[in-house]
Amino acid sequence: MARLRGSGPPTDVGGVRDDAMSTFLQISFSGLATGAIFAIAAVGFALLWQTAGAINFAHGEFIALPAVIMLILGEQRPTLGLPDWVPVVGGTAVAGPLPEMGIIVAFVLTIPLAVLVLGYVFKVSLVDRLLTPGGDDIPLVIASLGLALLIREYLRVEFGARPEQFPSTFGTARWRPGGIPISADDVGVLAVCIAVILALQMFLRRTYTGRQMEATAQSPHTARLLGIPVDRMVFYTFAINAVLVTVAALLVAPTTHARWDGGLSLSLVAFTAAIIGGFNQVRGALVGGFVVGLLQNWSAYYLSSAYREAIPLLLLILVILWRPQGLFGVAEERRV
Amino acid sequence: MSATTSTTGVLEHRQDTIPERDRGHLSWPLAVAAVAATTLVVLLPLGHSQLAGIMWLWGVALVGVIGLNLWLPVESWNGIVIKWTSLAGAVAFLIVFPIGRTNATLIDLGVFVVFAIVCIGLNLTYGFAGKVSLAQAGFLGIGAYVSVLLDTGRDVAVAGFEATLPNLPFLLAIVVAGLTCMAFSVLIGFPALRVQGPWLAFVTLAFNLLVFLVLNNEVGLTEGSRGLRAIRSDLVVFDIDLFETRNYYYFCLVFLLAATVLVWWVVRSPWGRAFKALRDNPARAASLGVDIRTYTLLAFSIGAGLAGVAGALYARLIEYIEPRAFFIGQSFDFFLATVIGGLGTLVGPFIGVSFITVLTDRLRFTGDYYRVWFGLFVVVMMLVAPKGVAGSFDQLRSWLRDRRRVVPGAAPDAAPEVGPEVET
Amino acid sequence: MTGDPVVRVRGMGKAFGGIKAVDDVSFDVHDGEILGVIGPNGCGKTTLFNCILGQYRPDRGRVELAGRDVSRWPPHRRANAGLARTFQLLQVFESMSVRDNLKTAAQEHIGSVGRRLFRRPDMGLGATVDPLIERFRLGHLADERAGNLSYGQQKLLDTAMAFVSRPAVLFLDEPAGGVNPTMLGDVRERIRDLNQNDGTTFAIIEHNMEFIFELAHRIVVMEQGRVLTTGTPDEVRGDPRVLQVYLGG
Repeated sequence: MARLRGSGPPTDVGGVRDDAMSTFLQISFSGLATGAIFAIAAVGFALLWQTAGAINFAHGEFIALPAVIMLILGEQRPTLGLPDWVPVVGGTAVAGPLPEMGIIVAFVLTIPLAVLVLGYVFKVSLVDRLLTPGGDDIPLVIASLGLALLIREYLRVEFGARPEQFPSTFGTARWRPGGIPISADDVGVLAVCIAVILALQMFLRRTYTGRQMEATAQSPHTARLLGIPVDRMVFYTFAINAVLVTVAALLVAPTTHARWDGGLSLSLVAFTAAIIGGFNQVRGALVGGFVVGLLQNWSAYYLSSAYREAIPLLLLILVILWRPQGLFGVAEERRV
Repeated sequence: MSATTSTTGVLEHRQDTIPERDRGHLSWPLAVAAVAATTLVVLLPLGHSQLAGIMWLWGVALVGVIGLNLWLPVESWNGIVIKWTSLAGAVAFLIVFPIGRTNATLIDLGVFVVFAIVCIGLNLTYGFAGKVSLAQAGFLGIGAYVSVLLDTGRDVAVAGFEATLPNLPFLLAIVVAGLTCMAFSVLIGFPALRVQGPWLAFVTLAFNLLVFLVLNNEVGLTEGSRGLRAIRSDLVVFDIDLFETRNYYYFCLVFLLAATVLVWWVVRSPWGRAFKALRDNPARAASLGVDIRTYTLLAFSIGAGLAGVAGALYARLIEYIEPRAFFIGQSFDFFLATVIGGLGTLVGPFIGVSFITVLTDRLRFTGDYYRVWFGLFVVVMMLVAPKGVAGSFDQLRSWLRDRRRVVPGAAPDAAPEVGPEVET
Repeated sequence: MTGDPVVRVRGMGKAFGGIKAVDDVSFDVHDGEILGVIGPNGCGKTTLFNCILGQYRPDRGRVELAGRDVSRWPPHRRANAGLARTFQLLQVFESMSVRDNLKTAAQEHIGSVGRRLFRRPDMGLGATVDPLIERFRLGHLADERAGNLSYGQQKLLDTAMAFVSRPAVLFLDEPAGGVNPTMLGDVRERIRDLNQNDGTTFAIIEHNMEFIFELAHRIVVMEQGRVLTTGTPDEVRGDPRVLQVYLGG
């Protein structure tokens, strides 16, 4: 989150309304776009907690890593034997929607890789070993913090020197409906996020496998009694999370230039969104993501850009103090 | 219930619970050998000059001493002798080693001392009271900045307000730094009443980030990323010239000893039992009259207060502070050191901090990659020994013990009863 | 045998998401008596205890201890005022020794938090705790880690911890639950002993009818969050409504 999505003051290019309201709308809209990405990150985060009981402190690094992989895949086109029509990432941008097919191809290639490494390997080698039923959950906290450190520092050493220009997935066009400047990127990001989230909801609600996953999330014990292959359902969650972080990487990278240290703040944002929304609910995490995105953009513009990240954190602490079940969660008194 | 089961596992700790009559005979040869070995470890490094090599040796020796413990019940006289010998050895090392060292080595060792103070505090907060905190570097930073700002008579400007800060005596500034951190600890103490484990870890991490953002952005107060200079030039306490690095090192060491004694006192007082009860089972503790809010806040404020004092000492030791020194990574290191050294033990923080110091130094040959290797080490360490060095020894010891004896009278009605039905 | 009401519960109500777990419950616990609370599974007995002792915040209703309204007090304050309890699932401090468990249970009733930091570690509690350990037949285990004890021994310790502060009323949640049938008599004798020799007042949730009818002086029968009837064991036994509740009316 090195840079805001087009939240600068409105320019006085012809036809643009320059008043407080249009500024507010412009900032809110790009806030929604940012929030949509946060929502995707937070949903993956909350899913892992719900189904596997795992809290992943390396979640932000899990987003930074695919971003870098996509860049590498794009750049290494010749050596990977990709066809010529795949343009080099970072090349000259062509106007219009989807100017950079290369990044889309890289994205498609990255997904199975992410499912394998960030899904399967992560689950089998770390979560399954460290998260024993009834055991202590701090070792996983420490291990995932260590993992975050490992990834972050590796990215810093290998890629830190050259801030990568990650291509804008949806081009650089800008429209002005009603005089409010809206960038194609924001619209595209929002559209993709909504599509992904709807697809996820459909999957969880409408398909047999999705229902089995929901059942597993609610009570692994009962699910097992009902003959649901719990372990496979848990793996599906990890796989979905891997896909979600890759989507988030695709969408967030253009604004952050695939920076090595973006992960930490993304982790905190995902966690904050998940907590604000109520940890037990995917919908809560969604709303939480949007709330955090809006808050960040508003506070950056109206208060101080230096404290952009601080406002959600303050909100997090307040929410935990007053409504530990989250703003949209259902109160659940602890059984004694 | 979840809180109950989650904290007990890693927090196995030693207790002197066997009454005197059952402590067995003291084996004099063994006691002499322990003292001799410890003395050797303290004196041997005198010929060397490299700090880390010596810390390495010392860390190995401490681990070895604990390893020796494996074959002895900690509660026996022999165990007690070894425990106190190793602690005394640690202290003796810190007193003797600096003689004839360069200032650079003294500062390195001073950093070790300061960090040990932080971990001793964290050991109380987490090791005894079971409350995770990844905010200790934040408190270190608050302590450092508060002390430096208050004893230099600076002009500051925050949010439009301008003021000239007082020029307090150094000792008073240290006290104020500690008290300020105790006050701030309430900010994470209250959330700790609502959330546990990983969530609390995140909340404390968020607090640390908030502290960092304030330190970095309130340029009128903290000079932001340019940092503050904190030279010891005219620091005199009780007629001792603290500009002299050696004097300042011993000054810090006094605080380390005081912190050790403080935590030792707290832990063996009735508070110690209340903290452990809070850690083992907060709901049950409350039903027995333990005021969990007060004790939770106390656990945090003691840990934070010690970190604040450490921060004040740290600033004058390094003579320069900048926000990045108090970032989240440092908190992680503190937490890791505390876990590795062994939770709920007095000697644990010493082992942990020396372990981290040595590890960092040993990994230096990897150049830029050293934090990468550090991260990898942490992951592997958690897979192999999630309870840290001392914890693994404890585990091994109780395993050995369980093989040797059965709890008297544990059998009669221990038939596999059906657990009571839970009414909802 | 039994005296004035020491605990009064009035109009207690608690709902979870629209389901009334406890609905307008009123009853008294008399000084020196053993009061049984029975009812089918899920009738709200444990929820009622949680409301009385402060683990839950009831939606409405009042709890009085010796004439004082304690409804808004946190659990530890009620405990220190004389309302002690055990939980359905036994709960001891596993990492601490048996003796330290009991000292912890006893210490918070004495003096203030600040003062306790400067007391001797033992606080002179040995004289209270050690005889109790013997009385509960845990003498040989006094220094054992509580987590290493057998289920029955932990259950004993659990009760001893609730009793050590000599509470005005001791609330037991299923003292016979999960106890080996051969041990039931022991448990009953111990409760009777504490009641007769120490004058301890008990309120006991129990599923084992035989156990509680033999022990209790009075019995409160609950059904679907409400008090169905209150009376002596004989009265309750003869009440057709109670029979109907248990036979699934």
